[in-house]
Amino acid sequence: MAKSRWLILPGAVVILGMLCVAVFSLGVYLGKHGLTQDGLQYQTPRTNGAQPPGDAPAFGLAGAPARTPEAAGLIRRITPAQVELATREGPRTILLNDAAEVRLEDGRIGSRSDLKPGDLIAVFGQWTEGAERELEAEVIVRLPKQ
Amino acid sequence: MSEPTSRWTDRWIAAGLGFFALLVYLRTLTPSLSFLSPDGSELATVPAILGLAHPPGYPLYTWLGFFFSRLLPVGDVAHRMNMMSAVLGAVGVSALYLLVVRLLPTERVGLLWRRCAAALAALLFAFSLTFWSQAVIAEVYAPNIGLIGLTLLLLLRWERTRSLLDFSFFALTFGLSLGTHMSNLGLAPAMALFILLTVFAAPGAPNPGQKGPIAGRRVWELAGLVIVGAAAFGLGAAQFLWLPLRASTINDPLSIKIAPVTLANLYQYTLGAFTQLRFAFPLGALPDRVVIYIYFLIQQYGLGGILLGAAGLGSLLVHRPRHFYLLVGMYLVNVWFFTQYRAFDLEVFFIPAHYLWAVLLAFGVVEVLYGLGWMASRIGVHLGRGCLSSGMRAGLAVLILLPSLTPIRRNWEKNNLSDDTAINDFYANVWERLPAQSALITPRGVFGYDAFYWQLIYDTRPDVLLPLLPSPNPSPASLADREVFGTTRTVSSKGGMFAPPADLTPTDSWILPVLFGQQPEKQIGRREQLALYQYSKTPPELAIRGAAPAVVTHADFGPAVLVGADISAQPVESGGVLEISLYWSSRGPAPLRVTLRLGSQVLEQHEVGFGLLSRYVREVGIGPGEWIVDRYAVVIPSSVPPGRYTLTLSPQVGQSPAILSSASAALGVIEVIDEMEAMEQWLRAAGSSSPGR
Repeated sequence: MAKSRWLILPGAVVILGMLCVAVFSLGVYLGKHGLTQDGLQYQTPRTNGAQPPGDAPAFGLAGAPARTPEAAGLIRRITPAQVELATREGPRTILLNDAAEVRLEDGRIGSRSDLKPGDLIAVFGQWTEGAERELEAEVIVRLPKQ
Repeated sequence: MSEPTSRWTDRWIAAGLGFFALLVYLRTLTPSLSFLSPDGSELATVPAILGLAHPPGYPLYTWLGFFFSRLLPVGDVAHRMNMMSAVLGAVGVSALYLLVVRLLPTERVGLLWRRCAAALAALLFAFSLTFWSQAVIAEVYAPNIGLIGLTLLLLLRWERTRSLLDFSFFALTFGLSLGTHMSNLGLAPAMALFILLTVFAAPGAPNPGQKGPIAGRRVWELAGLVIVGAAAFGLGAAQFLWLPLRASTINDPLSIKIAPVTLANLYQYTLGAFTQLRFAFPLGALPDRVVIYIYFLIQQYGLGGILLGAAGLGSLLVHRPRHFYLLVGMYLVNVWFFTQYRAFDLEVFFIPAHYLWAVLLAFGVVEVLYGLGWMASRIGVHLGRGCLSSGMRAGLAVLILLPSLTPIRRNWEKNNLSDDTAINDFYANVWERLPAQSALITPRGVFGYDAFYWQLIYDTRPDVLLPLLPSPNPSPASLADREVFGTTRTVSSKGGMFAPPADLTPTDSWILPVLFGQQPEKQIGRREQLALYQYSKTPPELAIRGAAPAVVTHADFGPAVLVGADISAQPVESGGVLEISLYWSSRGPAPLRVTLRLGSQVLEQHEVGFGLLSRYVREVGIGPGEWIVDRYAVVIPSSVPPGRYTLTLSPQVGQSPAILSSASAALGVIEVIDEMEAMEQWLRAAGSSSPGR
């Protein structure tokens, strides 16, 4: 034991560090999400290009592309060129262009004016090329209020 | 018991545990292709044709797969690739037992209890949620665990013998393991530290005849290890020279840009691949990412397993400090790297960390047993050998192993993919239905392999053109004079780079689903998307007048009334199709999605009018008194047992408040028969005369 003390001490520091990171992370998580699984979303879209029959909705909403949305969150601010969202992964800016389509909760086609700060939306779109990858919206679905 | 005898006993126990795991994996094995992994169909296909998989290429996986696909005399090629995962996953389980039983501290508890702890850890890992799921499909993760386990065993063997030959076996295996997952390279620093500690801090090599000061001898030993290790590792890693030889087989739009035909591209294809996914999160997101990892760990071992592992950390450090740096170093690199990795199948990347956690867990179990023994001795009960009857010792051993049954029971339903026949059932019918000289448009690259598999392996329907198979950017002229079908109707401008190019078919084509594969409520990967579409320049017949459906229902679904239906003749063979026509009287433009069930099993879900109604109304029009007709075929899964089932149609609940959630319509009773084995049906559809092909 005495011989390997110089090995054990740094190892103890490693264990302590691991425990601290785990406890700190759990604390931050609980502060942000409470005792829920809200922060456990880790899946990003599968860009396989396939689409179910009949414009199938991703989450029971007609008109939405049948894949996981690229982003979902509450609208903080909306301008003609972009939407600022509060998402589970932090704030995110979504680029808008004229071709972006807005769908309402019941599947009807809406317009930009139907989107207001505080609305919960799901965004389907394409990531721009380059180092600063940004999400350009193709379809925005306004989700039912919980 | 003498040491060699004890070692052989451990080898037999390890083989038994691996065999038991293999039996369970084979019982729950996916019969053929699966969508559980996004790359599964590609990884089931490429080895049999010695092609090149997506980055980083997986040469060793490909070569091993080639032998499995050629040598195993059962099932189709995809089935054999699934079996390879099961076999090499079981090898990993055996290796875990041997690893643990050799590391557990002899001074804490007796051999029997150490074996129990090691067996418990091996079984808990074998049937943990994520690893088990990968051991029943064609994927790299289970074979990779087999390679990691062998690498660690060989490293421990070198530690014991300090022989250069053993070290070269270790280094060679480690180099080879890069061919099942490149991330293994991240384990190298911990291994290097362990080797250094072993050379300089452990008792010297068993070579008493060697002269010279100890420090000098160790420097020479290290120099020998570096030279031999580098050579053997380089030999293993040289497998990647295979990539340029097969670069011409790549048909993936992403990979083709970095086809490994130059040194720079070889780097991009291997070490430089997926850089956009690495370290993809800002510092502020890391606590959430760490919690996601902890959540995965709980999914594998439960809270008890986490606590035992945490106790094991301390025990490992105190009793095996050098091995602590090896195992915990490897563990931390895996967790640190992949918590910051952006992937939709993130859970599978932590499997090596779970493997290493099982070692910690065993150390924790030993500490608990030691604590129990100590407490028992305080009240005058001695648990040592000779103090307990052999019956009591056996009973206690069973008690220790009992928790290993829990994950089998808990994870069985999720990981039993033995009835996941959806892809093969769908394609067996696709190949039978496609007209002669037609074309089938598929997604590009790895996502097209559920169709490519058949032609690449079995040369199925060579008259049918798969335009995306040879190249991700085919010419629209290649489709001239062919009836065009597709398994997707999304094009690249909307569906990402793996969707077919937008200019392949006219943008104003009518794309009508004509065949649905099984689309269950429980989403398994992309299984919900199995549909065959027919492309046409002229509008389909979506509205008719004067039909006389055989089944009259007049069921009110809210936005539309189901007037009636026609169902094809019966009985139907499981794995075959039902032809269905649904007649609707629409009340307005609100979309209506419906679900078709056979008994309680969901067969398919679609939108009335297949999403084409608004265009149809605009361009063709629906006259008064005309009904909308959904005419299509639906696959009866070959996993459906023979019997009589009620076919019902109901609206998809929750899509709109206007829909009556309780409405549903019975379309009749369907008699399903099962005269032919599923595999026989698939091989017949593939055009293979013998399963050995």
